[in-house]
Amino acid sequence: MLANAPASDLPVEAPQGASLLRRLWDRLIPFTATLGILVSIEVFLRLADVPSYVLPRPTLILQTLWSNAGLLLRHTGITVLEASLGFFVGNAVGVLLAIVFLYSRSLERSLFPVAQTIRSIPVVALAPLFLLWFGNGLSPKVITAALICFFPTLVNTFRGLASVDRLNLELMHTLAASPSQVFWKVRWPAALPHIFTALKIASASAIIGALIAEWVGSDKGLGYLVVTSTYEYRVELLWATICVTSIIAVISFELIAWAERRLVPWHDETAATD
Amino acid sequence: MTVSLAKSVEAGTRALPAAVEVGGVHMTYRTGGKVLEALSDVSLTVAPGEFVALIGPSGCGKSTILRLVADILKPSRGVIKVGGLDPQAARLDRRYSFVFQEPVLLPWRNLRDNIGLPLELAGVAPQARAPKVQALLEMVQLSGFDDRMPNELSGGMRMRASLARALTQNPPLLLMDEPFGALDEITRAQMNRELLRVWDETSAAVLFVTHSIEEAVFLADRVAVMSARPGRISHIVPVDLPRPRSYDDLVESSAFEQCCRIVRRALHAR
Repeated sequence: MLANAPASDLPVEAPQGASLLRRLWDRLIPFTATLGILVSIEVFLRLADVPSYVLPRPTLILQTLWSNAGLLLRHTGITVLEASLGFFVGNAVGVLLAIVFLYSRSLERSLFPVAQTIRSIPVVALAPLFLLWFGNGLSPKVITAALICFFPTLVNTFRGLASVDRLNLELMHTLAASPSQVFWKVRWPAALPHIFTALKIASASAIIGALIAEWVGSDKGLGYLVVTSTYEYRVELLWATICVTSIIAVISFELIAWAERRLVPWHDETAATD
Repeated sequence: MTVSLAKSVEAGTRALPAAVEVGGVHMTYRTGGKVLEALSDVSLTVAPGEFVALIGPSGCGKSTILRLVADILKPSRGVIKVGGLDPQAARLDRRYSFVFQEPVLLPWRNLRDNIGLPLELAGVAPQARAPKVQALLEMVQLSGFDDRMPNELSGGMRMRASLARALTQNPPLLLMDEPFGALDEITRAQMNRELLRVWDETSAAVLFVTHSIEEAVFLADRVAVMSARPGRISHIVPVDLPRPRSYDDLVESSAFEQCCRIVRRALHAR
């Protein structure tokens, strides 16, 4: 990468002058596509006269979202709390274990297969077990969400911490840096892009984990709402719940992407020039 | 302990120990049952403030010598002293700076924080670092670029930043491992000029690895010529060209060409 750098002595300038209209259009394009698809579905369902228990029209779902806003919001709050706690716990354990593995190869060799085994058991199979152990409350949801986040974060963080440029380490060696300086000033920032990749995966999977645990046994949360609205044949409410889960998944992904741009600004730019 | 002992010995017996002293160093690698002799009986001394270039065919172990002096590698046999100290003690006491073939700037730090890194690691407060970093940026003609990230700079600018970083602690020794090897001919000549200008302002000794005869002769007081398999120093060519050296005048002079010829013959002698 460095060897291919421009050899002239002028600083590299970012291209400028994309017009305002053009940038606005670039922003709007994903929305126009979504809107277009929704409109075509609406038109098709009306023309084909599809009954709403098979597939409700988008406008009907929108109406349901509006009229059940209070109910949906209450259950959304619960699922978001479970998923966030699980996200936090699972990623914290994943990152800490990756650091432990980095400094203790023997622990890595003995514990990594254990982590891999736990990971290979489908969460759907484990969730009932957690229900038996921890009851009907918050903890089995948090544990399920944490478990589903944990493994990709462990693997990505470990890879990031270990794949540091050898020359960077040699530089720190010649500068008589202490092990903690090497970690915080080289390994950690080098691992951050990898960690954020993992966090983006985890943002969606934490919600899935919480939903699965709610399916298995719960009296509140979006997963519970999915189950009851199915049994009660309230197809519009089922679709509205599905919409809400996908909206919170998108929002949490975007939040992490935003944090990544703030905290790892150098990575975006290197990716662009590679 | 060893550091203080070495210091007292140094103060007691001789006023100025050699910047680098390599004595009878052997380096062997074992790879899959085979024993590879990388260096064979290498001896070399660099006086304080002296500029020595190390030249040789690729694979002759010139970088290995530099890495041994820098305590990145340990010799199989022989003695190495840096300013009278063992390489490890010299490294921990920050007696040398190493300039790599690549700039090795940390991509998440702007230029100011990259150049200030050695001071930061030594525990110097940010306020105390700032004026030193500013002066260095000026010295390598990068003032005004302190907020730039490494990927916003050209290859030549990055290398100048790398040089500035090596000078932050005024080390008595610079170890340079083909620092301009990846640059184009024009930028390289410019970097050579700047290196000599900067070097004139410091009193550092330099051990400079290169594979360019012209670069070695232009920069150095002495050129150590190596041969390969096993790597050893075959000739030492003194460069009696007056200083300060001006690139444009010097490279076309017959004295310069004469010197290059001697190094070239030494390089190809078997």
